[in-house]
Amino acid sequence: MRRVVFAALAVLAAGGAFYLRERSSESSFSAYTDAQLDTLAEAYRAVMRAPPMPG
Amino acid sequence: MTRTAQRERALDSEISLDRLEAERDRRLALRSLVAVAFLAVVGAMLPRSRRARRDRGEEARLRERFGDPVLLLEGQRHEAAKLLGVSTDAPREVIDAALAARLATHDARSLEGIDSGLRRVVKDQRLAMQRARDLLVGEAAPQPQQ
Repeated sequence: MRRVVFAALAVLAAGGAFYLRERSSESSFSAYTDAQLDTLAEAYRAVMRAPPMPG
Repeated sequence: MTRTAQRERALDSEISLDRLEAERDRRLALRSLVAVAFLAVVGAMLPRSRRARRDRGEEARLRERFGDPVLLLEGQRHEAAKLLGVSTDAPREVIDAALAARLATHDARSLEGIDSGLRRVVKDQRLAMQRARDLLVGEAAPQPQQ
């Protein structure tokens, strides 16, 4: 019984992981590493924080 | 850069940042699910707990020393049937009637004035008959009264 429950959990988790990986590959950010994503996020925040130009 | 262009750029950045955060969340969830799947596989492959194994070992030792519990119970049922003078598969009514007949021959009231040791023997026999009846009809033996 315990083995069946764990096996079912493993299948569910693996299925969820596979689905997320497929979804992730559709994103334009999928090719970036975590460090590159951090850098990108910082750059986006800098643009958003930039003060409006006078005039 | 005009003010409008700057606002559009900020808006684009905000949208991109949202998508980037979504990608981060997906990666985190994916890693968590992989960890859960791995742990579940480990959990499924682990042998039975030590306690269960110990219990099984204990059971094997008891079986080795005293024999198969099923056979022991069957032997006890045969002894009980022999004591009451019925077969092991006799109906409940027959068993009850046999017990009543046996108890009548071991009536405690007829033991007045007899040696207390002998009285005790007869009482033990009556108790053994009642237990034999309970065993044959499949009822738990009543707890001895204080």
